[in-house]
Amino acid sequence: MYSIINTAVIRGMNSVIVQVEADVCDGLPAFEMVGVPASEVREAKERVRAALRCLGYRLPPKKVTVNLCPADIPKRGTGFDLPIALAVLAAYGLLESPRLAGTLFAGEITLRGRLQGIRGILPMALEAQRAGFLRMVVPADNVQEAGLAQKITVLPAEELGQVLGWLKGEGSLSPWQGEARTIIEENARPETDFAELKGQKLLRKACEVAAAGRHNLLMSGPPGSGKTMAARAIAGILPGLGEEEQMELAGIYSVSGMFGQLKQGGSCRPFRSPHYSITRTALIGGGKIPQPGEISLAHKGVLFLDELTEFQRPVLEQLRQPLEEREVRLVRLGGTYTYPADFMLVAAMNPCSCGYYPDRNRCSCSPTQIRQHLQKVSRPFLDRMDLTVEVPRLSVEELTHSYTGEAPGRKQAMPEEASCAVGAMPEEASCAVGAMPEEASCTVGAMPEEASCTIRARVEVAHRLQRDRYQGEGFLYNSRVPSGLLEQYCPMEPKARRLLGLSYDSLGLTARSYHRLIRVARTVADLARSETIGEEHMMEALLYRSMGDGLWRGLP
Amino acid sequence: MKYRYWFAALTGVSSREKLELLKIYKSPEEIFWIPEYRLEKEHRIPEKTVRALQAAKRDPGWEASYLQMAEQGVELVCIDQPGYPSRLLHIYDPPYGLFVKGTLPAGEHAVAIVGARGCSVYGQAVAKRLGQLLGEHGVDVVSGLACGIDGAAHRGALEAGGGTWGVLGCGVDICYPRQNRDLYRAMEQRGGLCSESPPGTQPLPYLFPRRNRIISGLADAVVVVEAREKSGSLITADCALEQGKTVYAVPGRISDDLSRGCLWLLSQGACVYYSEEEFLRELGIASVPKNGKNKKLIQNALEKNERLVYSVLDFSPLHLDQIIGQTGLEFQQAVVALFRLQCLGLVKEISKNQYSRTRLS
Repeated sequence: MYSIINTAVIRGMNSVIVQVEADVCDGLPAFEMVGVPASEVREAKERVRAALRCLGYRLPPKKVTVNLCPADIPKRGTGFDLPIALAVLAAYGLLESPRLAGTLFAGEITLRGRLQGIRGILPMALEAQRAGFLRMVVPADNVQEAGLAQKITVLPAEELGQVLGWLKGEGSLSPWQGEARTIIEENARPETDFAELKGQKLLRKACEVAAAGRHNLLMSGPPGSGKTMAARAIAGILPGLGEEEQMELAGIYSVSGMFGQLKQGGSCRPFRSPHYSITRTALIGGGKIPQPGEISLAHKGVLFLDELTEFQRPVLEQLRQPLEEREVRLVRLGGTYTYPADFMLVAAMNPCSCGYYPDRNRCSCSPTQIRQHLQKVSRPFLDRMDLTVEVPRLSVEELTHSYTGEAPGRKQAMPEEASCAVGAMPEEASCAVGAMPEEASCTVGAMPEEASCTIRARVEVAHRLQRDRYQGEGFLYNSRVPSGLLEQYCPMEPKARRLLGLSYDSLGLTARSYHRLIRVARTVADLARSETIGEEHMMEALLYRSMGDGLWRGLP
Repeated sequence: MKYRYWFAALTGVSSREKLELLKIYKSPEEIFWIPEYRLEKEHRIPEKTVRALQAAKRDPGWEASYLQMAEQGVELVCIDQPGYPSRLLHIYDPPYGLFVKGTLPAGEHAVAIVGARGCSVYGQAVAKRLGQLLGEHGVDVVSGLACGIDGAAHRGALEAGGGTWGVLGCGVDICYPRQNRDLYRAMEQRGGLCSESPPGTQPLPYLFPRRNRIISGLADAVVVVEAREKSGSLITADCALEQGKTVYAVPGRISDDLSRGCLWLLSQGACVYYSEEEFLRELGIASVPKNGKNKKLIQNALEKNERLVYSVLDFSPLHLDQIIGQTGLEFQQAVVALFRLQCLGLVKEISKNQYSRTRLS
């Protein structure tokens, strides 16, 4: 007898509907599986046989052939267990149900017949919805993910037995209602708050500018100066994600089997911080059957590369193309896979191998050693870092500066107070932007550091300005303005233009860094809510210019 | 001349031994043509030296390198020739020949300025100012073309329009370190470069301590600007003392690593360099009265914020955050003031977001 069951397979970021066909006939007993199954798909037959026996089905020895159609797409993943089990039962004539049609099945089963969660349920659900399926049976673990597809009935099941019961009409599966269909709550409190970062005025400013224009940021400074902390806090000052962006992100995490992590993250945007031992494939994605890499997991969020100089150079170099194109295209024998990778790159490094240059009393590196240290990162890579700041080591006074003028007893109490104030505020923050900083400073203490929500309010204003300005242009942020449109969108005052010209000559800028300076100055002006770029905005942009532009020129 | 080149380029025989050989035989030509057995038997020349001579004679490439030398614009000046610096004649181990690009110092006065390669901004400013001062007074400035103090001294002298000479450890046709290529070019025109080693010699570590005796030998006095405890500059100072030259040291703070070498020299009785006028007087040079108005003019041109920022700056680099912290200015104000000062050339961004003064006064 013959049967057919619908399921789906992940291909890049998309999904393809796959039919599982089963045929049972007389002959030497065998279980054959065809249609380019990967090894984990091939192993399904053992799981299916055991699970069915466990449920009391006795399958007479016959020749069973399972085909996964279309047969030319490589099949990967464990989601084929459930449809194969159903197809085999139906082919044996042990299962007949009108509900088989119009339903998509996916899920892994254990030897005991329990359904386990699988990767990539969200793209499958979206594809099923598009292809006109009415229902989708998924493992209970994946139900929230599948629930993001709005127009399809999602039936979660814990056991294979439940599914069979529902198909035969003996039991029922309750459709997923979806408590909240949005996965990421707006205005979630960031894990790291800028209020916790002491001093570092320049770094704070740079982070704000970077977030406002979605510029890439490179921090260089001695160990323990707050670089990592600042990077973590940046994700918290980026405005929340739009619905479309959320779906895109959820898709990536679904395909990577990391949907759970996305939810627990709690912050608005992803923050990925891979260790420097990361391989090329893990960073940009890939594999025999490609999987998204860290840059795609950081989509719409922050990719933080700590200890930039320790990364293998070829690993860093391949970031260059995704940084320009905002997506990564992997060409493999089996086809081309495109993963979105619109991330903001934040990197941190030490200025020399001991980390203390230019503090000559602490740093004993020779000029050659310093040069060699910097050369671990290529010039084209440095050229792509829109903002670069040197982060100084904090002196004891600066570390305690924010507390001075207060009674000693107060010192201990302050950090909590600051964070409570921040925690309580998110809802009001967006409406009462102007009023807040003053309030905060009176309640909290002598000189509190600015909290993330205050900074985010300013960043949101800048984002709004950019959105209005670039309406219909196909890009949203200053950092993405093509050089041809810079004249149109970045009007400069004559003084600013003169300063830029002067620095172009004296700093030996490249055309790329020249344009980058204008983009950064545009963001600085946006933060100051200025229509045109003034001289002071250009000066600030020059502060953040790249390391490649004459940083070590003054090296003795 | 060909044999002079052969003899000067000869490696494996020290300059002392070369001079000894020349005392026995009349000229390099004679040494070249004399059979080896006679060298050994008649004059008891050590076997090692004989072998080195033998190897050099049989080297097929030396005549070609000799011809190439002229093409490169390099001249050879030997100890028995008129152009040879007279100061070197009086030192204990003078080089037999000097390979020269440009000229050799021939002025009435010459001062060597040496110091650390990885020096501080302050040290750089001192060396540059000293180079300028000497350049203005027509004193020849001798140094080693290295990064740091050496380079700053050369630069200062060139800026003031004086002549400056670099003694290299490698071949005179090689610019080492490469960053000083601009200096190298400028000095070919206004001053010169010289080396004991033949053109094409790579910069090997053991060559540099040896060239230090030539640096001090070419000068009347040596000024050590900044040096760590175990520094090559101290070797130069030692050579200078052996050669009977005056050693000056620029004092620094006792807490700085970079001052330790100089302070040690001072404790050993070196002269202290503390005033330009005094220094010139001791060298016996009449000082040219300088233009005192300049400083005031600049100070007057500064606005309030700029003056404030300038007042907190020093020669140790200050980060922008520190400047803001010390002046109490707003971020934007401090940035604007810093840029104005940079445009005036009073302040320099030493490394990313770190600033310091550029002038001593």
